[in-house]
Amino acid sequence: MLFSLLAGAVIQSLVPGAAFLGRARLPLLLAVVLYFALTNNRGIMLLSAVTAGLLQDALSNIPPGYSAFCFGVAGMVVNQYKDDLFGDSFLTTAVIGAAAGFLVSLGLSILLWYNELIKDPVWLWALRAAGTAILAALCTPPVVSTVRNLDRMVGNVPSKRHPLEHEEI
Amino acid sequence: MRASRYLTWITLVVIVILVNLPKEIWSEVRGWCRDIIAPFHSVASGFGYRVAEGCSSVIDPSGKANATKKMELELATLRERIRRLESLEVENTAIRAQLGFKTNFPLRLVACEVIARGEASGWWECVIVNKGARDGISAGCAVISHEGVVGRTKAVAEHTSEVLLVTDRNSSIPAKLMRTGNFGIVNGGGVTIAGNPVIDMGMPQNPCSMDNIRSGVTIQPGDKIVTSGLGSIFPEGLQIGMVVSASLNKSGLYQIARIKPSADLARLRYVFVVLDRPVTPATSLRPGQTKQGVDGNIP
Repeated sequence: MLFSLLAGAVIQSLVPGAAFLGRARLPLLLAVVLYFALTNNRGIMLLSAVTAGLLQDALSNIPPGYSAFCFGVAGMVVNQYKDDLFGDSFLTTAVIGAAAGFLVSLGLSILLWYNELIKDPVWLWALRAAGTAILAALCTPPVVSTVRNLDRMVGNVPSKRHPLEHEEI
Repeated sequence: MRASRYLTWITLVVIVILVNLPKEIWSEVRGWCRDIIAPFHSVASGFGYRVAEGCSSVIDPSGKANATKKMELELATLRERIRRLESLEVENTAIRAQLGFKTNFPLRLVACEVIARGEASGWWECVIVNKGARDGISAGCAVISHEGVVGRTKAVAEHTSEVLLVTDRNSSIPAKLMRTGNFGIVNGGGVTIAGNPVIDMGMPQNPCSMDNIRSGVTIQPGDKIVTSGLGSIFPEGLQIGMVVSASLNKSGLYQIARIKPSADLARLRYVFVVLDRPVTPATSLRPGQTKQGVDGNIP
């Protein structure tokens, strides 16, 4: 978990945001949290949300705990319905990523605006939330797949069984 | 199941502690995190610069030779100019001494390399540079490039510093029009222009404005704007940008000038942190005091 979050934080802070997407950054930390929300219990998910939030806040000017709170809420909603969702599906993870990205971006905008930390107009909030949703839709499926493979590699989750393995037995 | 419940409660407590963390402790934590991530940033940005250089040499093979030729010409011109300026400086110092004026000291600069653009969230216009408190940098130092003002240092860790760019909405710089000497404040518009028409699509092309200029002042496009030296961050005379257009504000009492920053903020690589602060009445020397910089360093 720590490795994937650290890697996500480094890449997220390195890739610059495009102006036409409202300077939204690639939400890799959120994508990692969504992976843990889709595959683990609430405790592990919250631990990943707090660590990811702490990393995002430390590498930006956001006051401590804001990102952790938003990631935690998004993760809890996804975690609540994880049994009803196709966590392996590319499309499902893309849609979940887009929705979570939009809500987290909007939630953080409101929190920062309420504390008078940002002076951006509302249209820029909307543009950034939409930009985050697009980027999250693009990055969540590969991140989920990569972290799942990484987890399988280190033995945190059982490796995939071959479809014919059962018949042979 | 019970372990999961405990973990949930522990993380909720951690969130509450984080939200109520004292500012000083949080600054320390942020500094550590940035210093840990900084080597990765350095490696990645160095790789990025090399790739960009490699691509440009493939796309335009004669570009490097032309650039070298241009730089040699510029070097010769600048050497000649420095020679003339040195004689003028000697003359100026002598005249200032005769008139009893205080001598202007050259600015103490720390050269830094930009290792990351923007911060992890994207809400602020920032860059991260590879020098920090260990090199004498503190929060609130002016940052310039060879083209003009870049911004000011915001958060300083041991080995890295975060620079708030002039285009950020939280940036305000006391400035004056070089031609007329009228004062105003340069405020950021919130978006750094990348210089690419596709990426900049729909964004305002002049990301800064100079506000509070008297309504009677004639402002012409191309007028240079420099720092006024008021406030306690930017020394006087650093170029901020050029006027693109001007208009009256809503009240009709003041003018607003749209500005194009002199520094190419989208392609920053090397910047200089100015360690000296302007001498304001509050920081000026009293009779009998020794001549020391604001930070306690000898200029």
